[in-house]
Amino acid sequence: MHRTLQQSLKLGWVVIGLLAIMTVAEFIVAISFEDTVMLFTLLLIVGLAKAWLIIQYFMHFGQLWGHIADVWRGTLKDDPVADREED
Amino acid sequence: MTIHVPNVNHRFDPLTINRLGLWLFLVSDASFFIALLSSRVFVSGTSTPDEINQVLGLSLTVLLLLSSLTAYRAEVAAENNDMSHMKNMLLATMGMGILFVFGVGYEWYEALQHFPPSTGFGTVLFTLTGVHVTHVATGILTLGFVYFRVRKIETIGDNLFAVEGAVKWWHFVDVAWVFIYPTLYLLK
Amino acid sequence: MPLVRGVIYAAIGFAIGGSISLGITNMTGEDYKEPMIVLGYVFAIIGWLMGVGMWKIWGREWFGKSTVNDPTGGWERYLKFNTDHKVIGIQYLATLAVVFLLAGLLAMGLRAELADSGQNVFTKNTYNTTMSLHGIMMIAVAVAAVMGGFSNYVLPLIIGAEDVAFPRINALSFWVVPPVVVLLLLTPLFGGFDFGWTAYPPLATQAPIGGLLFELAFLTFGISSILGGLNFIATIITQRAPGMTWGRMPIFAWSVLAASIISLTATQWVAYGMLMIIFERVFNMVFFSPPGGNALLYEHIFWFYSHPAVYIMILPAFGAELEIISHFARKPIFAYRWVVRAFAAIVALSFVVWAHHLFTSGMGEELAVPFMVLTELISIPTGIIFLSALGTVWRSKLRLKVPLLFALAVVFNFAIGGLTGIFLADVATDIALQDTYFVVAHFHYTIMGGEMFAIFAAGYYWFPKITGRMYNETLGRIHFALMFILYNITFLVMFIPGTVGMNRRVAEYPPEFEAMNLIVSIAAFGLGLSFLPWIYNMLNSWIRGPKAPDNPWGAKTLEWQTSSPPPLENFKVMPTVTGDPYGYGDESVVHARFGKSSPSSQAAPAEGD
Repeated sequence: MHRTLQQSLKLGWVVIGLLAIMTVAEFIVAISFEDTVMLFTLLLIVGLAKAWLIIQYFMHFGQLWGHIADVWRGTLKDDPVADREED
Repeated sequence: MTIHVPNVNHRFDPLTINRLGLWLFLVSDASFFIALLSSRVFVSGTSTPDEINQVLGLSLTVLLLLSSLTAYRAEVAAENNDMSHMKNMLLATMGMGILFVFGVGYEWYEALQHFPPSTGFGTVLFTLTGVHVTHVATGILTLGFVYFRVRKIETIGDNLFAVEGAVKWWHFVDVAWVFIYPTLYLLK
Repeated sequence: MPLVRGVIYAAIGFAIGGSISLGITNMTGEDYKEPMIVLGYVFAIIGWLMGVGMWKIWGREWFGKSTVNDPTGGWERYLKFNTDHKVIGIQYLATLAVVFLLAGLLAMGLRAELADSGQNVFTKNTYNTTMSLHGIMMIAVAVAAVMGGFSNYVLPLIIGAEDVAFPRINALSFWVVPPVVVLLLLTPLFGGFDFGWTAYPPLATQAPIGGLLFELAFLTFGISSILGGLNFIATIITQRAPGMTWGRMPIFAWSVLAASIISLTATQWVAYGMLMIIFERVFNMVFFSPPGGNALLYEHIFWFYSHPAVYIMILPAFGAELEIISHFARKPIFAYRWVVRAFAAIVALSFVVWAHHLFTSGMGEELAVPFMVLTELISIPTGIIFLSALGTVWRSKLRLKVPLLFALAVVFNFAIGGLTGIFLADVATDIALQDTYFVVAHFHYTIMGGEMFAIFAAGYYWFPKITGRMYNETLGRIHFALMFILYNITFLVMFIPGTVGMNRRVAEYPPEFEAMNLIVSIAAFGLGLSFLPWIYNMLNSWIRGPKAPDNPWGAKTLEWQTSSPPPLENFKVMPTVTGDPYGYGDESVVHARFGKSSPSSQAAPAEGD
């Protein structure tokens, strides 16, 4: 997935906008909820969403995904005969 | 004298290998931050003292998120060979990082009066922000080295990973703060 | 001389760090000693690394200067920051062999003290320091000999790579080990540390300076372990020879991959544990003391690393054991895929069993049963590995060489170690057995009987490859017989005082345990002496042994297809993997072909299935 320069820069603004909204939401949640468990859960959800935005769009987590899928297939693939034979 | 010349077709180019290595290190470091965050509840429960400076916490968060945007733009500029924009954005990121460090310094100055390290919350606050600000400082240092390296070049060439790696580290520091901020300031 | 330069730079670093710290403590009026040691040590480590050659090979690059990397040379190449994985492997093995023998001497000292119930050799305090030093040094050997030593030497060879993915990080991960050893050996001069290798607070936060040195050493060792794990994962993912699919990867590489995942993620937790203790000592923080703090926090964090850590030790040992059994039984590994899955299952489960160390600690009782069940679940994948070893031996024509003898001893010893582990995983029996010699015997059966025997197996197995010379088979057999028999006497008998309640970590004990302890002590001294033929054999064979052929065992894996010892670039002609590494009994299976591969096969992805 290759983006043009303009698209990339626009994406940056979109992501930071979403992060800003979520940060405000986080703060509002924190002053409006009293119950600890509820607050903890909501904060965790918002935090994970924010982290996901950064990891996915700023850090390009997709780069790593190929490696993970590779190892995962290697662990689980059940075809020993094919591996034993010459190709 | 270079002797160690690879004479084989490796399946992966150096950029991919370096990226993988950095990702692995980030996974490892994330594990460290999980340990840090989990100890917060153990040492001082979920309560947050009223004396904590909410305005300062929020401005630190905004500052770090904004620096993430400039870091992102530096990386995009590097990929698109826009050297002058990249250098400006690197400088802006470093500047905001230094402001952040001063912000944490001020936070510590206030914290010493209300909750010194010998109290439960002070222990947590100083440890979390201390470890985090160490990461920020290494990030600034890395960005500085990268800036030093790219200050005169015309095209990005082999320096792409230097920029990308420093930026990735900066984003990681940001992700860590995304969790540290509510843990320290917002829990009740 | 890089070493001398390293020491000088380290001293300069310590002076700089120490003076900064002195300046600060002068202003705040705190006690100056411990902050000075911590900050000075951080600077000293940096100075040491730069001095031994990191500056020339790596550091100059940060300032945009050119770097010089020359991993060749005579014996001097072993004494500097060297990026060749074979050199690093030997550096690790040589360092750890010395640490192993020193820690073994300490163990003999302990057994001398425990030979009768009174006080003989040590005072109570020096006994505790000796016991703790023996523990931590052996833990270091157990983690690093297999993950640092053999993995470094063998892993790139066995997957057909030229080197690891990050050679400079690899060198860095070795060169922080010597300071660890030095720090640990310095501890007795600074009051020692009497809290065992686990360093529970509040003992650890109140111990003399020796305790602080221990924590710094553990922290540094963690860095080495993390970087090593990172490197091996990246190496296995990116550096395999063309054609080496996951299904054709030797089992040793799989086991190193599994152990590296644990090493990469879990080690950070023990680093945090040590950091907490240092913070509590230096900054008067209250992680473990009132108000608010709780010593249980340390135990949770510590065991979250230290239980997975035993799998860092044992998994590569299992990998080496299966490898050796397959090559000497001339049979493919039985249930290869299931062993791989068992490794994966162990990695996953190892993170959720830590609290079985805390059954008697006062943690919430509702945690006991879940952790008991999870802990016992882990015996299923372990059992699969065990059955795979037996299935490979089953109806095979064994060639009873020394490496195979040790590998079979692993199967025997680990059966005892694993079975006695069940009693410690069960809450009901563990409450009685906790902190007795039963635990000590169990632990030594898994780690010494399991892992150390596998390390010796690996040592004999790869000795011809590493040195280019053959060891003496007769001396090897003598070593094996003595070590196996005396080891089993020592630790089988040790179960008995444990079951009747003799506490561990005590210098004096009730007289009714004397007879059993005397037997253990005598056998333990014999066990210590049984390493003499090994030392002689290794040193003598390395210098004067007969030249070894490239492939003395007729094994199919890649490390045996190059010269002994391998050239700098590992393979003169790069291999292309075409088949199973364990395809014994079927002549048509060729693991690897050498020679110029056609451009089309170069372009094709390695996953050729």
